[in-house]
Amino acid sequence: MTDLGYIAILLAFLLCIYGIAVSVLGATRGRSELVASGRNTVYVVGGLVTIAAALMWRALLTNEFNNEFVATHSERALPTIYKISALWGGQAGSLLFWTFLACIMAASATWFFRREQASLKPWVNAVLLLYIGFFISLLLFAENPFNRLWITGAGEIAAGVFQPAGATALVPADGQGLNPQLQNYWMMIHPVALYLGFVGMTVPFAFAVAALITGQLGNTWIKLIRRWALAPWAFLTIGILLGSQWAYLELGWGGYWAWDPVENASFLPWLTATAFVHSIMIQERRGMLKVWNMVLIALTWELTLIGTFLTRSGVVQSVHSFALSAVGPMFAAFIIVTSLAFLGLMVWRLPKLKSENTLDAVMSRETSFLTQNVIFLLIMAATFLGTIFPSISELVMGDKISLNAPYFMRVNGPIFVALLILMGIAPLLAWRRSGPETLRRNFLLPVIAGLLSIPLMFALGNRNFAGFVGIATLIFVFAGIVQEYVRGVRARMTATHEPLPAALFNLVRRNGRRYGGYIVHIGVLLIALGIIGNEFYQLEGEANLRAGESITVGDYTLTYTRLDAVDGPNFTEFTSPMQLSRGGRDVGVITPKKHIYFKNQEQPMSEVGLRPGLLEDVYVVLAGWEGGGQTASFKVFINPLMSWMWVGGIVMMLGVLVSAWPRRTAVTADATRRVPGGAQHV
Amino acid sequence: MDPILFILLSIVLIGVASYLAALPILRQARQFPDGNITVSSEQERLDELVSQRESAFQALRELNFDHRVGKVTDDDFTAFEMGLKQAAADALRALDEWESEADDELDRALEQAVSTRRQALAGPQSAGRSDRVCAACGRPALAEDRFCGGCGAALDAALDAPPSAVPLASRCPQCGQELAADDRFCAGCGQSIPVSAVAEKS
Repeated sequence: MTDLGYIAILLAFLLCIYGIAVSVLGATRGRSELVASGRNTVYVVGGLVTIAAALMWRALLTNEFNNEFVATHSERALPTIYKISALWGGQAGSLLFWTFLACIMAASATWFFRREQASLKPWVNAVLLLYIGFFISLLLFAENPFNRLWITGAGEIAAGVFQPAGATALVPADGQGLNPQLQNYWMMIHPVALYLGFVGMTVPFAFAVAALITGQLGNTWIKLIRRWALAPWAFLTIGILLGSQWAYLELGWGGYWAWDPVENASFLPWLTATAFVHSIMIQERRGMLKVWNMVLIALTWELTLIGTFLTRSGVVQSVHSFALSAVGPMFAAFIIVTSLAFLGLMVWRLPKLKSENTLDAVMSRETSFLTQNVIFLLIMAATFLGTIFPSISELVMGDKISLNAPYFMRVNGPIFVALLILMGIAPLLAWRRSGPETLRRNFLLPVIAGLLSIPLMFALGNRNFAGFVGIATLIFVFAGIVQEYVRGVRARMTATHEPLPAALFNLVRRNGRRYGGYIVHIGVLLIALGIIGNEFYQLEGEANLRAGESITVGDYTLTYTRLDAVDGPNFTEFTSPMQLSRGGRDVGVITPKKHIYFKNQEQPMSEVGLRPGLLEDVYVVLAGWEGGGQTASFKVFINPLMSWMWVGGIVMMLGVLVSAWPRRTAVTADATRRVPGGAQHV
Repeated sequence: MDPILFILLSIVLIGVASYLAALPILRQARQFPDGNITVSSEQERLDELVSQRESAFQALRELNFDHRVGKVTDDDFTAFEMGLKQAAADALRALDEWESEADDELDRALEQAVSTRRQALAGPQSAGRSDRVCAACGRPALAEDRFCGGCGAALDAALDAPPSAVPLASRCPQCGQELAADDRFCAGCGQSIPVSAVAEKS
């Protein structure tokens, strides 16, 4: 039955080629039936890939170990929920899952835009099918999830869809199991969110290509895709934050971000996408930055591919990179060809991409947005360079030199602070020009608030200079946002005489983009607060303890009591309940754990003991033990303000919802054409 | 899995998928109006103009809002408001021009449709005489029209189609009414037309 999945993707691949051909023919010859056929193909390909993915899930759930992917990524004892997520636990399966999500996204976009921009659509469909077709080609020619295991006549194990001559089917009694790192609830949703972000960027990119080909380079396409750029951006944000949460709870080193190549792979397109969702505002309002926006969306899309290429081709090594694979050259070729083609289209359309306006003044929101764009690209360039540096150094010097977290923090840290400051400045500037009077009026209170926070922190016993700068910056930005809200509410109350709650609600409802954006900024501030707390105020300690002995870190004392072992479905869980006290007062029990999986005993997984709090998290890792638990070693971290990082993520998503929420437009129908009086008598 | 079942299922899959993908071509897009791209360029031009108008209005709204909340000074407000109103007016003018062009086109299309419909309703006899043209503007006219639908000029015998267009030979010898090649009686006066005469003359 699973073999039918192979037929489905093979057919889907051929239909992608067909769909691209009829879409292009339909568009160039004005043949609506061809265009409609291309559109149908998007749905049909989606259906076929869904069948293929469903068959693969079925194989995983029914322990079909004759399938190579199932045999190497699952086992009988694996809990059902992880059998579902095992699909993205390996190269071939995750490429199939990626293709499946791309199909869902393509079909939704095709349905959503069914009544919009008829002349752009065939080109959009062609790009979507090209993207899906490329991923299916990886499945067909490099990483086939439908390969079965065979024993050849010579007694060797071979993998292939079809039975080699003289071979018999090999059905292992059990599978090799799923990578323990992936047997975690966060891993259920983190890759899904990231993949949705990656594939989602194809929709705005496809519209950009269609706009370039048709020459319709005005504001319409930008307005159409705004929400379709915000949605994948939001998914990328969620994906990155969930990944950090996973790293925080599972990797057990007290941190949340290690500047690992795979992490960077998701961060790079997020940076350019963030720049894009800001700079399209300038194009919408001022008709400027058309070339820049084209570059940004293309760069974002290419970076989703480049990141994937880096981690899946074996070019860079990472804690969660995939095995060396043949997908590398195919990815490289696709990235080069699509980049050159897009560049060619842009050069061809350059005369039509001219700005309709120029910058009026240096002190304006436009300029601050531009500067912010440049900063995002700087961070992107520094991170990209750091990520590929090991490969470059190996190529040039023959030695693989890895740049680790300190490099990224030293380079990116100050740029992040500049970005935060700019995030405070930009909303306070007016479009076009902000004179000295405007600056004084808008900046006075936020700057005073930021500066006042420094002596206050000093008085509270804070002596960390970098922390001062960081927190003062956050307070400056936050005060600016509060000022914006207060002024808006006050203006509305004066104009409409509404009570305060109604004025606040209506202010946000009627200006969702602006005030939703501010909510996103508050979310970013909260995340930054968590980062500052963790980077500059983290305390740590480690000890090897006997039962009854204690370790003290900061105000907290932890006492080792015992080590218990309990068998789970496919692992043994070692737990160590520790007595936690603060300043001599008992505050509860904290239980770090370690899972040792039967199929991967050499890779024990830490389950951190965590006592989260608004001011600080107590974070305990069971590092190891001897003599069956006579002594055990622990790492203890006190991570100040970390909870705010996760709260910040939720606030950001809330802001995105407010910002992207469809608003009821004024009830005025656009008179598209007058109906002559005589027409009714015809 | 049984190989025969596998082959059968594969054939069904290929058949259904290919049929659904090619359906619009098989049905010549009759049931896929939203796939029609040939009539859309006007709509897109309109979308672009409406979008420009919206951008201008949005900029004005934002300027007003920023002024109200004290972010923009009075001087800046006055200076920018003028420019933005001008931009909004330009956008509205462009939209008006587009609409009047669209109206003209629509009028022409409607008149054409009315004319065609009338000819169809008048039956094959008069339909055969649709080559009557206004001498003033060249617009086709029906046999019973007394004035041109396009320019209002009176349509008398002298302004009818030039003599070369309708040979004298194909007119009724009794009343001068135009005759179609296969007319056996004159549609104007009922005079019998000898078949040989029409055949010879035409």
